[in-house]
Amino acid sequence: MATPVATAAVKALRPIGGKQIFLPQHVVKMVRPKDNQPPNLATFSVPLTFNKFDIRDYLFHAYNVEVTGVRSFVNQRRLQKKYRRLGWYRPQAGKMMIAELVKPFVWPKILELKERGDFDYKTWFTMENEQDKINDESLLREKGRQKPRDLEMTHDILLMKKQAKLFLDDPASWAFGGLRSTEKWREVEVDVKLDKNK
Amino acid sequence: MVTLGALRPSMGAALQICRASSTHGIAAPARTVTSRAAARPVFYPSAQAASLSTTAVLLKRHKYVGARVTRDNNKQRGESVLRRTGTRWRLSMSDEPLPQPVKPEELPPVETDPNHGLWEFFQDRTSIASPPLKDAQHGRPWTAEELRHKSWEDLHKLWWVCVKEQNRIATAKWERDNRQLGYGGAEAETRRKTVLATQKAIKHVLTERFYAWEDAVELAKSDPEINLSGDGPAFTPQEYLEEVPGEGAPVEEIEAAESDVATSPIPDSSTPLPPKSNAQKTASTI
Repeated sequence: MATPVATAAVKALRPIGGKQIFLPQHVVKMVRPKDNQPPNLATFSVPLTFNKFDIRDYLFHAYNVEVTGVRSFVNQRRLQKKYRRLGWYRPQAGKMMIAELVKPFVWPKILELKERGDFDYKTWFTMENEQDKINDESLLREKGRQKPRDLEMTHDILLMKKQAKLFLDDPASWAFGGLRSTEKWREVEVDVKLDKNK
Repeated sequence: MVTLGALRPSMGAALQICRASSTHGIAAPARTVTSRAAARPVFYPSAQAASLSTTAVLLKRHKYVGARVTRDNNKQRGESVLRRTGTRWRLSMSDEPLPQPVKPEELPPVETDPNHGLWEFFQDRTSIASPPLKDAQHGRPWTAEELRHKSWEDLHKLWWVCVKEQNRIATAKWERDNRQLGYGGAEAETRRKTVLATQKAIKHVLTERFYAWEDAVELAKSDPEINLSGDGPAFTPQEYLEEVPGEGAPVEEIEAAESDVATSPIPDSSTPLPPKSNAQKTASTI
């Protein structure tokens, strides 16, 4: 008895597998193509267990998309530190596949910043930056490498900086007694002869 | 005997030769391959300058006039791609105007089929990821109790609806994270968990049915009405059911188990073809 899959395989112009898979749990996501990628190529991020035949049959049966060829590659992840930096580990690699489509597919343009109001982009961006700053500072503090220049500039620090600059520009102005070196020393304590008769 | 029909191709070739020889002035000894008697009355021999082998004449390739005689007989000596010298030989397409390259921006835009299957990977056709407020508009997951009343075909269709919804959510997440669209991650995660709960309920129900089928097989081994050997009919009903006072419950149990057998999933007769659904339908069913 011919299964529906086998019937579909006969109908397709290109070779299609006839293997039946029940209740799959794979997650296949379509990824925005790189710039200048022709519209007949579609990029997918697939499970590591997928092969080229799998994505071809998956797209045909589940999405009714015919594919003439598939290119695949595995992206190795960068080494990462474990929690509390107790060692290194490498996250699991990710597999990508580029399918050559029979019918071209052009992705919609990236949303402009103005058009992201529904996503509350402004708040998100501010919060994200703040969080990054906090993370960086805490990282430095954990390492014990926080330097004065990494601290936030308070009013006091700015004032001290101003005075320090003044001193560095003209050290003589900060000579003893606030006198410039060019001026002569003046005796402050002078013996004053008092008239005893008065 | 050469007929007019058989002559036609050779006549055409000969005409071309006449034209080519008159323009290029290449003189070659006249020699015909076909019947001279038939060809002579039409045109001969004043214009005939080449053999009937048309290839040599039609090609504009000839020896470069000022070509040096190199010691190694290298025909390509002096030709360089880097210095863009071009060929030393006149080529057959030398007179043809070459097509000018067109910038990608000036090309007509590629039209995408509005019914393209890949649209099903998107929650929204403009922003890929749907905004969080819209993403949060979904119901609760299917419960196992609701799914117990569904057939295997229905459950399998619902499973594929869940698979496609998961793909949609994953595609949106990638776009939201990499293009920095903004908020929406938490709503998408809730939605994904709802889908997973539905899938879990489907598996729960199927497992229940499998256990019921196992129990029914055990019961059938001791049932005189059922023949599990494979020879003859599997079910031979007795003429009447013996009513034993006080033992009504076990009979009902057996009947219930048999009815479970009838509805138990048999995977090999099913189809993995998913239902043709879209995002809106999915959002309403899940």
